[in-house]
Amino acid sequence: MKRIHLKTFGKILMGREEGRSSYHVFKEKLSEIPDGEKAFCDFTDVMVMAPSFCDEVFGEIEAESPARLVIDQNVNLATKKAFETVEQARKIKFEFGEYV
Amino acid sequence: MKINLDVLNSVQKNKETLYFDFSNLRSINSFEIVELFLYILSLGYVDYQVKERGEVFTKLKSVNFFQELEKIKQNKLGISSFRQKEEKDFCKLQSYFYKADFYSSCENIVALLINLGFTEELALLLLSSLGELVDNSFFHNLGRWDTRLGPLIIMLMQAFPEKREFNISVSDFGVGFLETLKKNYPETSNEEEAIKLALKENITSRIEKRGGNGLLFLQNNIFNGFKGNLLIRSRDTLIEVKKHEEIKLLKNNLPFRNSTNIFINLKY
Repeated sequence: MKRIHLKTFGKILMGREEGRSSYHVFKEKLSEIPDGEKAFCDFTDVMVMAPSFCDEVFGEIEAESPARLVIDQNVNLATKKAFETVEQARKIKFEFGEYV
Repeated sequence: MKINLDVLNSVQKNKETLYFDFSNLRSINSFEIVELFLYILSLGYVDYQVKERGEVFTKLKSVNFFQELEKIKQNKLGISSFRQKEEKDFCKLQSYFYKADFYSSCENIVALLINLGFTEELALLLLSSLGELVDNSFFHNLGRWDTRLGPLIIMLMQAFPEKREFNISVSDFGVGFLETLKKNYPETSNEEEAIKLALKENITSRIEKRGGNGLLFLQNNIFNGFKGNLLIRSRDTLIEVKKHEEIKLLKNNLPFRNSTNIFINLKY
């Protein structure tokens, strides 16, 4: 499992347009991880992520490449709610877990 | 909170000068402060004179009302910090000309909320909801902002720490809900219908029809994380949301053209 640090995208992850730009960078990082290997999304030092940003990055990636991501299970409540909102809207399920 | 908006009658316009007469008013609540602020700007504020002062004038002065009016008139950006050791009731207005202005003040907003007694989790939850509102406002009004004022978001925060009550209002001079949604939902015929529609899941004006859950997220957080209610005004129409699906039309003849105001009343 390879780690992607979300803090490299910013401390406050908000905005649909900002999410869209981040999606392209995130996808590039993901392409560096061999197929079949999962990417751990590390939210250490990220203050908060809002649903629209989450939708543009994680909603898109999950729809394109299901089960490729493992989301840091220690995300704070607000960030967890953003994931739940995207899950509900897109009828998808994110995998939460620890880095192994 | 009793909403009558009589305060709007205290403003008279003569040429480029506004005259304020607050003598008939005993008090003003935080929703009315924002509405008065928006109303003054909508009249083409250039200069003002206060004919009668009184308690309402003192209250407005204490929340930086006239200072913020001046800032907008001069289109000056000044991110006055929300980070203060506030122990008593307070109320503050803040204007944002760019989305980045809001992002710059996020940490201060969280610090202020925690100072008031919010848990860090609830403070971030509220911040995230505000972020969605601000993002939507800048996106939906791109190229359609009021030609005189340009992009502008007004935020007002009012706290009553002893009662553990907090109000926050996010307002703009954008095109409103109906104009935003009617392209994707042509059957929507008035602001009331448009606001009710926007409160539902996956309702968006975006061409690709993605997203559209900002208000839903706000509702979920307010009615699950906090106790509170929402007032939403789009142009001339004001509705109240008490809890999911409990929506009441309060007024549909207010003297506003382009502008919206989302007012959150929280008990934490």
